[in-house]
Amino acid sequence: MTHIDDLLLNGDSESMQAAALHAAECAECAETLAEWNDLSGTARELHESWNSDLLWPRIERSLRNERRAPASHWMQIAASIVVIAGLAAILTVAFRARTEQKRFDEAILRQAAMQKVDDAELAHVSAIAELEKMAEPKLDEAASPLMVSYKEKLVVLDDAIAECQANIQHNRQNAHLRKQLLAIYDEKQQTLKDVLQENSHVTNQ
Amino acid sequence: MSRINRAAFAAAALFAAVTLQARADDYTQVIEKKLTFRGGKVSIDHRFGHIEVRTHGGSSVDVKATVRASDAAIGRAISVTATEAAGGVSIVTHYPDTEHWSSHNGNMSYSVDYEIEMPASAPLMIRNRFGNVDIEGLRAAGDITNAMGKVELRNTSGRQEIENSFGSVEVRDSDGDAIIRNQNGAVTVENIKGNLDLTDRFASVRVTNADKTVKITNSNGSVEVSDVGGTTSITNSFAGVNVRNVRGTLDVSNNNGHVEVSDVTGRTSIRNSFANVTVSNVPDVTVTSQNARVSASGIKGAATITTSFGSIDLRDIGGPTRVRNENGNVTAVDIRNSLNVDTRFGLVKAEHIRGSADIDNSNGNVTLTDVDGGARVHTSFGSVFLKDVTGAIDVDNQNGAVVVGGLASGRCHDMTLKTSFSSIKVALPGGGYNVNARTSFGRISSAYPISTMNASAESIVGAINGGGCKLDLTTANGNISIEKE
Repeated sequence: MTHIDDLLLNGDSESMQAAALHAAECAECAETLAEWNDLSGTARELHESWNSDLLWPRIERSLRNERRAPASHWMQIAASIVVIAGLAAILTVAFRARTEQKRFDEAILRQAAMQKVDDAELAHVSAIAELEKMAEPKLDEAASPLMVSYKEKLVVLDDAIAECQANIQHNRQNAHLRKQLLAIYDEKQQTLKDVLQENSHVTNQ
Repeated sequence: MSRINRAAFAAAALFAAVTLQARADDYTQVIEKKLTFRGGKVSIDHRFGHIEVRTHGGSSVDVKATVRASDAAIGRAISVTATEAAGGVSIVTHYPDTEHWSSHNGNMSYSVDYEIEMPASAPLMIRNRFGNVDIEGLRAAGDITNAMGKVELRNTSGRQEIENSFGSVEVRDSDGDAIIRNQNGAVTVENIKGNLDLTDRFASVRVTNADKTVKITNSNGSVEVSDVGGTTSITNSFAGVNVRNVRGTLDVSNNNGHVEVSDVTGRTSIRNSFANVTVSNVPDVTVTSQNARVSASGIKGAATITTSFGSIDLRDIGGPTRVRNENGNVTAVDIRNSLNVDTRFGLVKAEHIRGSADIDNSNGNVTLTDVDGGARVHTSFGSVFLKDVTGAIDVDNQNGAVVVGGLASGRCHDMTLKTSFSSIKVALPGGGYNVNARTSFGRISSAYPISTMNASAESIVGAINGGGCKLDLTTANGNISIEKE
């Protein structure tokens, strides 16, 4: 930035006088000063003012509010802290309630979940009944060690199903019991499928 | 409304929503008890809920039981007794006789979950049904019996005895011995410094990083074992067995499931049937199989392989190799010792044998190439092809051709080649032989001049190059041909 640029940026009367003296000795600076004066003239032409009774009172009130700000600012911070602490407390309690709610739901099934479990059990029971019908001839002959093993596994699974069902009668919405029963039904269904798929290699024995 | 007010309102609404979501009849009660352990053991008798045990260095037993029920009346009727005596601390859950709640149309439901903090050095006994058990940091013996739930033990020492049914068992980072009995649940054991005795049924077993003896008995579930520091014994059926990196002896007994074994430092013994056996990188191996293919490679010492109705494929065997098969091909390559094969109804092919070869076959061809020692072959209804045999050759065949060639020059080989109803062809690299060739219905020809001592239409007795090694060639109904190599 040149010396005349600094003076023009300062803009006070002393600087402007110094700029005029400097421009008298420097052609380039004189050109810069002339451009500046043109720009200032144009800016003055663009200036417009309005007369309003309300303008000054509004500006005054605004300045007054700004002067009061330091006191109300601290109040706002304090209020914010109180509100944030309150929010945190509410959220903590809500989170805990939500967590316990989730744990409760994991332990004791809701009606909607019960319906889903009941439906799933019915589907398993129906599928198992069909598979049992198909697998019965194979299991009845059970000549190979593998078939004997499958038969044994099915007996073990049936015992477990009976035990689960007996306990479910007195603890119907217990989620663990119901999930366990579903898992055993699933295992039984898979075992029956394995029985039906079993064929060649055991016949060599 | 300011931003702060709006946030406060939203939080309050969230709180209200969460709180209102809980059913009016949900019952949750937390029972807390603090006891002092003065010796004996900590025992827990429980049903219908999970048990979580954590440990500390103190002597207190802190019990937190969370009772949850679908009905407050039932929830209030559930009690927990926790007592301390000379025999230890006892924690028992008491459920009401649910017959009294028949008016609830069988919809009553309840559970109790335990969180227990106890001394790490106190022995622990748990009896639970219908819930998971999770234990961490126990430094004393554990006796855990669970049913219908998962059992997890982590970072324990002392002897751990675990029994479960219809749930998985996971033991990790255990410094002591472990005895695990499960039924219908997968078992996983990782990083165990003590001995492991594991029994399971109808589920998979996986053991990794066991420092001492491992004994596994399973059926109808796969077994996977790796990085064992001691003797390993595995019994299984109807599922595969996969073993890697055993620093000790290994014994596998399986049926109807494949067996794969690699990198064992001790003697390896495998019994299997109706499924393939693959073994590699072991010092000595014995495989007894039925109706299955057997592959062995990288055996540093002796290999004894028996199977039936399956092929045998042996490669890179360092010790004496004995093979018994029925109705299956035998392939042996790079045997750095003697090879002994006894098979029926299969082809025998052996290459690069750094000892003698002794082959008994029937109804199958025998092909031997590059044998450092002698070769003895007995077969019938199959051809015999011998190439580059260094030692004596003895072939007893029936109804199959005998072809011998590729013999090393500069030395003679005693040879007895016998067949019937087929031809004999031998290519000699030189050297002196005492020839005794005999055929009933065939022609005898020789590329070498034979100084005959006795010759007829059926036989020649004489010498090649002045005589030396034995060359007995006998057939009936076939030509005999002596050629130059």
